[in-house]
Amino acid sequence: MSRLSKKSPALCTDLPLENPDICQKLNVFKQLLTSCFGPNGKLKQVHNNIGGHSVTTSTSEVLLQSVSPSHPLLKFIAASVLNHVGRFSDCGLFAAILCFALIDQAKLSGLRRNVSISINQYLLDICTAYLHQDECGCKVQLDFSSSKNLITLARSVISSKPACMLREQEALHISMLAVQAFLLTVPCESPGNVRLGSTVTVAVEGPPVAQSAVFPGLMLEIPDHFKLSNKNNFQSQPTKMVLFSVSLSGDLFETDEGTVEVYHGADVESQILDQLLVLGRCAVEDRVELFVCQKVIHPVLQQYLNQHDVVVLERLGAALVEPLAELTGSQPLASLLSTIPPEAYGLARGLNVKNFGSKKMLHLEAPGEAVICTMVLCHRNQTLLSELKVVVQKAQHVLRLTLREPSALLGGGCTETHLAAYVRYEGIRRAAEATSSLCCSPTEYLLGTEAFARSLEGVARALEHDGGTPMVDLTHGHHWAVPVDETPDLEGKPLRRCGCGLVRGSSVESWTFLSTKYAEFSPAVPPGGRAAAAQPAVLDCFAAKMNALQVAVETANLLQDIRYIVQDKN
Amino acid sequence: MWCRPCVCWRRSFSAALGPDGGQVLFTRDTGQLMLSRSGKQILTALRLDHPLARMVVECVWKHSENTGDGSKTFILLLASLLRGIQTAASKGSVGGHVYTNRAAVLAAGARRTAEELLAFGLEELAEVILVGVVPHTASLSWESGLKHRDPEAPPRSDADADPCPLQRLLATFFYTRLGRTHAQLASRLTRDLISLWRPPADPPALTLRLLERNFGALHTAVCGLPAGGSRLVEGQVIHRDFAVPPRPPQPGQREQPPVRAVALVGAGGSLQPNTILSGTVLQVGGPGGGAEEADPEGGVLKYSAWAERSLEGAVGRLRGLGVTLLLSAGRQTQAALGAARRAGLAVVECVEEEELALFAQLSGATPATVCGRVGREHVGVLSFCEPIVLGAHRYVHVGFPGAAVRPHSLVLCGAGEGQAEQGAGAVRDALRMLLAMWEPWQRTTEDEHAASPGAPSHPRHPKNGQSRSDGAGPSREGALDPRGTVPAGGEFEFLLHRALLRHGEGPGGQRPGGEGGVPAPCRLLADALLTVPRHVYSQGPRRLMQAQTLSLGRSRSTALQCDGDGGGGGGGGGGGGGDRGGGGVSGVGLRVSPAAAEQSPGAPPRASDAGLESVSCKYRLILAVLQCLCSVLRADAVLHLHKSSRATASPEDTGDDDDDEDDER
Repeated sequence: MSRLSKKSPALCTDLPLENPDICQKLNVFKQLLTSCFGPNGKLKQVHNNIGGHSVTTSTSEVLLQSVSPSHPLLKFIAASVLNHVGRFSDCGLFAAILCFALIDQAKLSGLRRNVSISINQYLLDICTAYLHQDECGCKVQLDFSSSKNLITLARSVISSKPACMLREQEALHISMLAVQAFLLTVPCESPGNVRLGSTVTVAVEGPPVAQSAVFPGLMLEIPDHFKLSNKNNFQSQPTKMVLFSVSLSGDLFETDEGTVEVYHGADVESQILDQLLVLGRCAVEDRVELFVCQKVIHPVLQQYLNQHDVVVLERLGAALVEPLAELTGSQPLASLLSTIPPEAYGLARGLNVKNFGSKKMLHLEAPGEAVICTMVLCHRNQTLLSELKVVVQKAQHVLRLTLREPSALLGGGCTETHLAAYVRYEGIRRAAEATSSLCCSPTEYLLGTEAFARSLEGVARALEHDGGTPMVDLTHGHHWAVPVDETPDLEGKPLRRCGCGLVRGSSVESWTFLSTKYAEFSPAVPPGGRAAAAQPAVLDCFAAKMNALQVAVETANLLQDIRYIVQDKN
Repeated sequence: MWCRPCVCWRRSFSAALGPDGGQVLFTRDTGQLMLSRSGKQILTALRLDHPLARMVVECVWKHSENTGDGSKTFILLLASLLRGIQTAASKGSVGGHVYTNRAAVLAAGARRTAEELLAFGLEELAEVILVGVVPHTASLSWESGLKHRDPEAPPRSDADADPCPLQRLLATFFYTRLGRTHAQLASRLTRDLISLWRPPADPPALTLRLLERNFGALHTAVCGLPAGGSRLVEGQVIHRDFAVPPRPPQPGQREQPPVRAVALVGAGGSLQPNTILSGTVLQVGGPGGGAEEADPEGGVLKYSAWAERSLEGAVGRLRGLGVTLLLSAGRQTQAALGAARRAGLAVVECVEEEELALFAQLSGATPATVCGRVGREHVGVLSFCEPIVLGAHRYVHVGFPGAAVRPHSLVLCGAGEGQAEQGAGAVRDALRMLLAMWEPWQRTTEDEHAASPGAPSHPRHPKNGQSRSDGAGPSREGALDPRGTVPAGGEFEFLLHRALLRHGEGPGGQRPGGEGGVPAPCRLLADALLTVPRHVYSQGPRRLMQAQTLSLGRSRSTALQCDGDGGGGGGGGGGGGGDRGGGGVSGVGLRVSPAAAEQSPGAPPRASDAGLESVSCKYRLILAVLQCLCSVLRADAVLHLHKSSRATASPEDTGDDDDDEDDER
């Protein structure tokens, strides 16, 4: 007991959001995240003070994982955003920026904590109900008969991550690959519940991005000296294969907690090796042509198999066992004692060797239809490659989410400004109902509505990093960015296109600067906007943005609700 | 000595008290974040050093384990009682004593007052509540609470337009624990959970007990999704993924065959017999004579082959019983998983014992301990078994056939880990609170014991104190309806405050000892009680006045009705609530509450005003506070030992002064 060090008392902070020190910290964190937002976002280079790996990124997930905030409030926000990104992959920065904007605006509006929280929740419900409506003006139905909108969706995700350093053509290429890989994982014919396949991503450093490609089936990395013998005819007929998940290196089996005593003269190794060779003979007799093991194979067994023209592949790794078993229909064997049961064998087709930069890979395809494909991603260096890998995985996840909810939201800040206009209009229309159910005064309600709408507009404004002027049109409520070298003109010369590219400047009569007061109006749906044929240039994932919106408001509400912080300093 | 720690907690508690209270954010020493409005968790997280403080924390823990609620009120009451006692003691001891002895006199006085208070609480408080509060309560009945509920209807159909009293009670509780925005959803989920689990004929307490005990296995906290996504799912969620997934159904098969499952528990719960336990030795190539090592060439292989064969045998036996799902508490070997995969037997390994116990209870099958001896009685039939993805994890979802009870599991979502956990803790405490209302409460012997030292020295009943607490007390308690509820928002405190001040009056309002004759414990307790509403309404003193007036009006009108003068209630009401009178006693909570919202537009949130609180929980809370108070004041010194406890030399008694050798913060 005397060795136990004394626990120190906890550190307490009262009313954290009114503490200038904490506000300063929140502000810095907000600026850090805001500056990363959107396709023109600034990159962040993170490295710790003892050297080591440095990360260049602008995605919220990577950034928040590598930067560990010290203050509990910041940790709280970071955890919420990371949890959201973990589920939906996209819109992490959106959630964070909206959350900060809501807190700032609530403070500016001077509303009481409880009032502001309940108004935010009320307006959130209005927003979610609107976004789920069919008449929603910022939603586009996805049409699966054409890949155009899918490619737009993937491209919006990819081009909003500038740390990949992709040129426009490259971004398009990668988006097309992402959609191709996604389509390959959707089974063509399966009744009832559809089970999506998987995409294995292989990263190759060195070759240009344009060499990235998607292959049906699996690409297994192989050593340099690997050769396919010419005797086998891999192209014309399926190859019989067997897959082991147990080590074939000649180790002793698992003995649990007991002891094994080996006496002089007993040669355990040779006994096990004999057994391995029995297995090998069994495989050869059953005409196995491909022998794969998750772990290491004894060299003697390898040699034996090679002599009998069996292709041997060892050290596959645990991650690839399941896709390979699924692709070939084989059952991974976990025991080397019994003979190989006939149902454990699998079939593969079209074995061939492909080279990507420094890597040599064995390509195999399924004998029939399979929903497994491999994406080979190439990029110039390691940093860019790791970011690209993250981004492509996000894009694929976003594409998968469209199966659950086949619609997308307009990107480029247009959803935010449109929603802000809607909240102003609808919120004020429902003012009487709201004030009675929220038990607040009409003034408070108006202040709360304005704060909420401005927070949404704040997210659209965060897209601008180079001094341009964000504007909003007074017909559709879309977001328009005026470049820094042009002077914005409210009446005369129309802007060319809005942020998402759906509205042309000619169809709009008047604009106003974003976050100035304007008479509330019901934002109109752009002509042909809801039709599946509409093709905006930027699209956001519906499910991800929806969840991000809810998470941001809930997190902001909770943060405002925090009255006290207790930090355990042990 | 005892006052300081209590006073310094008050700040963090009042931050989180009541409907207007905020959240408290913690970082644990592991760096984990936790969000809470539960007093119990706040107390634990404060990591208090002072031994007396730790004792108080223990009392709070014990109380809230029993009733799930009231830990913040506990501290507020305790602190204000302590202050009251201190003031009273210092007033009473002025003059007549030598200064050096004053501290001792103070301490003794305080101790005596505390004992008097406890004796009063144990003997007379029930009666006071019965007279002063119970006429204003509405008894909550289970059936009326759930009669609107049609289990087949979609959950949103009732739209919470007219929430039943049970749901209002729950909503009030969740309001203070989860905040306004999620209170309705949480209370609806809890109500539905209970009604789905309860067989129609069973008393509610059984179901509540079952739910409370198995809550860990019954809920899943999911983070990353908005709290609005919380829901009930049918069946049980086993918080593990398949080690071996079930075989996909054959294309030709239309009907899914029922799933037969076996649960394996204990050390022998492995498919592969592990004969090489620790301590046993497998000899290879030995001098001969043993059973296994007879053949020097094939010893190892022979053993392994035997193990393999028995594994096949075990799997074959399960297949013979038609088993397609194996739930195992332990980890299975790779070989065993391979064999199961080949045999088409789905395996879930490393399942928590708690979940297996619940599974066994729901499926009606006995868990097997040795795989070789699985029989028919170990096989349970499930209606389905499928993977379910909740948040980042994939779990196994099983359903049970049956009509009377439809077991459901609770899925609680939150944006961060802390929020989902907070929701889970709140639901569990709500179950405890309901259990406290539905389960007959027996005062424990410990409680009685705590009272006994004070009883002989009791000034007002010097002789028969003991007998009273044996006889009259429990019978009074029996009359106290455990399900009685009063409107939330300080109503109970106001009522009891007035009842305490009137306690001991004659029938005509005449007090034997004149106006100042309110017994000291009554006055102390009455004053302390008022601190609770004072903190609840700390944001607006005006609202405290309003609430108090309202309560006064309400009680007058009820009193008139009780006298059979229901029609006069309208005129008799002094406050705003009186004109709403006219219904029966049970209507009080329902009728007056909306008036409260009309009374002060903009200020009070409606849910709290329409809410309900349990009287018996409050009563138990006061008793717990009084007991804790007594034990705090009985300690007269704190000894800090800097050596290990074994090496303690005879600790010198510091005497009966308040000379504590601790280093308070």
